[in-house]
Amino acid sequence: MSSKQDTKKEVQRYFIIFAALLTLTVITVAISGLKVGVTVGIIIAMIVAATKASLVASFFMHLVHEQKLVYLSLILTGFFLIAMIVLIVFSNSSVPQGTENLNFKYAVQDSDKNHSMAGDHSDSHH
Amino acid sequence: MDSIPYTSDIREDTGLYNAKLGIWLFLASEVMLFGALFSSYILLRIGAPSWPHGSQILNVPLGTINTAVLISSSVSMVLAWVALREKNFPKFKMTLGITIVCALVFLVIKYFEYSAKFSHGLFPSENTYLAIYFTLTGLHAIHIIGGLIVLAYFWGPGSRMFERKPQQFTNRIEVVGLYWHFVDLVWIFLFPLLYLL
Repeated sequence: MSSKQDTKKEVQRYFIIFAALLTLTVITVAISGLKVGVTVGIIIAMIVAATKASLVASFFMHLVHEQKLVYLSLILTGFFLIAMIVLIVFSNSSVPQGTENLNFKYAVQDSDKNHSMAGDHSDSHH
Repeated sequence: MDSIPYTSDIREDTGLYNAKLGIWLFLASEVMLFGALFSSYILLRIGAPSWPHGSQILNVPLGTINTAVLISSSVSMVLAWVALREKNFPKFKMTLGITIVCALVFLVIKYFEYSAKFSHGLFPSENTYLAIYFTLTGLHAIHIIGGLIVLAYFWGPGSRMFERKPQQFTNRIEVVGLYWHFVDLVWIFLFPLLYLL
């Protein structure tokens, strides 16, 4: 049974994490304005997102004090998630000849439509 | 005696009450669900000859506000569970109420974002960017709505359980909190991926 003091400290910690999460959100938006390539931008954004996610998972979802079985389930899940992402990404390099740009028709077009949709970011293949 | 065991007691072999293990296993399946859609995003993007920067299509300030709203809802959610642990029912009602309000604000902002897109003729069928945007955020919004229904039930008629079985009800709030934090987690990844990159 936690005492009133413990609870107060626990609540304080939640608010500190809250402040950290809001700060990291502002940082995410701020650094998205930096003029770095798409690849570098994605890496930095994912690192910040992963930091925020681990704060939510560790403290709001109490993962820091969790049972081994939960950790095991999550590690197994993480393994399959990484495997799925890797397999799908690598599948892109072995599409049959002649089908490489099949989604060209459906990708963002900057020609006939009048909305300012397409980017001038020529580094499309990051 | 409960017909369903280990709703408040902890099972010796797992060290958990059943619902907590159950929700974590469910969240594992949700990780694969959203992971598959994130993988689709990656594949569509690296296979496309061009891809717009998120800020050209989507409203970054609105997305940032929505991110702050969901983070706030996560804080109030965990505080609701703490309040129940401390047997402070009024505080539980207030903090869970804040969570529900935040969820509604998120959905309202999403509604404005979507209707702005539709009014400009930008539908999922337009191109792969919009297709994956609407799919990812649409599925996420459906998860918010589902969670909202459960939260509303626990705030309203479901909260009567606190009088008869306080520990079991506290566990229920912890479990729905875990689901809610997961929904917040998904958005934490969605926001930079769709709006900022």
